[in-house]
Amino acid sequence: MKKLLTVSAIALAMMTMTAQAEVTISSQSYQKVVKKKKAKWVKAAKVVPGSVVRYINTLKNKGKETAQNLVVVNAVPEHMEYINGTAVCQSKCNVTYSVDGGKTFDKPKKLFVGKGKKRHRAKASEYTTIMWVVDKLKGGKKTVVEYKARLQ
Amino acid sequence: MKKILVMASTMLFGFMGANAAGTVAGTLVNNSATLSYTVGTVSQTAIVSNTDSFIVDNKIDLTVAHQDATIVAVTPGATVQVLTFEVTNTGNKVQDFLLTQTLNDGNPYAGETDNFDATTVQVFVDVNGNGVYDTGTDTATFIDELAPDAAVTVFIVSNIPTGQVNNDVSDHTLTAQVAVGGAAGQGAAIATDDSANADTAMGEEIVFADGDGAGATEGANDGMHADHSAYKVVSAALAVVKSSCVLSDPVNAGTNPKRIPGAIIRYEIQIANTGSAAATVVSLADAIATQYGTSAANLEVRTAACAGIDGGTNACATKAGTVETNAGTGGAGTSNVTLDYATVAAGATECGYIEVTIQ
Repeated sequence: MKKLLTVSAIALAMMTMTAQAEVTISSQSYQKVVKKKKAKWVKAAKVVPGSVVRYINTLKNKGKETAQNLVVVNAVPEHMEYINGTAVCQSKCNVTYSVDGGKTFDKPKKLFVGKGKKRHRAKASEYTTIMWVVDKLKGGKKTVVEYKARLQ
Repeated sequence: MKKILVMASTMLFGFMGANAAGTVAGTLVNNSATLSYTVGTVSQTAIVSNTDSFIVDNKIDLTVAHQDATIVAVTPGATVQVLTFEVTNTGNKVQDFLLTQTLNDGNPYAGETDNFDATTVQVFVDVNGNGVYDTGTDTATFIDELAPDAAVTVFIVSNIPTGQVNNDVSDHTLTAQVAVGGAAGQGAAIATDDSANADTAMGEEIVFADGDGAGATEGANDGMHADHSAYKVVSAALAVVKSSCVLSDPVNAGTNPKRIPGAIIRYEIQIANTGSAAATVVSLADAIATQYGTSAANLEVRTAACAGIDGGTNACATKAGTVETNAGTGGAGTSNVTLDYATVAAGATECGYIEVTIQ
């Protein structure tokens, strides 16, 4: 019995350790180039004002357990402006935005900025942070969430 | 002190941040994301992605625009005649700009065609920023350290040859070429960008983004821009016609008079200005022929075309126009008279009259 308990404890500990290290996230920026009338996205390197940068966050579940309710929060970098409608994800997810630096998130039609007479519905370029909530990511799988922004 | 600090921080933000020309070259842009999730019902420790970074590259863009709304009117022999342009740094970094001018490369003014070259052509920067060329002050020949979004006035300064006539046109093109900025003094021209070189995320590459200007010697994406302007000679063009009639003679008086001794001859001298500018200080000297001795009465200049001689009968007729107050010098009784037409406006015709008696 003692031996069985010890084995169970070790297994539980291993499961816990595996679960804690299951999902990784990496971020990479890309920009579109057109060569011989064919467009492709390459790593962002030649970026000047007006350039559109595509940010891809790749989520990999290296474990065996299914990760759930994956919440990715990405602040739009300084000097960049979010481009409306470009925050998407590969799998089923919900996207909301913040105009207060990530304190609160909501759908675009409920986002307002300014005070008094200057209060208005927030433009996409005024979004400060994007949040994706991915339902789940099975073990051994990967998915991406992404958005595009323009350099001011 | 608090106010000063606020102002200082605002200026710093303005320099480091975006402006109309965009984010300043060399700015580091970082991006990272945070992930949190659950496994089963257990919340896992949030993790932060790597930081993706790149350096904002040097977008070189500029415009040259002529500022003279209409072609610049000049007169023959005029010196230090000025064409005005504006050079704007629409890129995202402080740059120098080299300036050159070329002749006969077109102009923006409809119907005007180049047919002469102004001389002693020079290019100067409006150093004191007053928008007016100041001899001895505006001596810089290149633009030094022009900030993003900033503009500066540039002048082409020339002389007009004395031999030019009304409506002559001289075309001039100002070309600005970007040069290395960042330090006082003329930087080296930036002749090529990094389009042929491999991109590096953490390097500040040069990207030519300029449009095609008006100059034939530059095009899009070459670090240069140009625009045209032109001088047009606006001068008076005077034509003089002299004719005569017999006003009276001692035998026939005013009836069919003949040119016999004692007859009074009327000379009318018409000056027509067919040019585009008024002729000023117009005077006409007439040495009275010895056969006449001296001039008679009625020296005058009238503000109308000559009408004192009937074109059909060649007889003297009623003079048109009104007598100008300044009708000349010399006057009746002298052998050399000067008719003072004063100002003959563009398109105007005036007539002077001298009456003499045949000896």
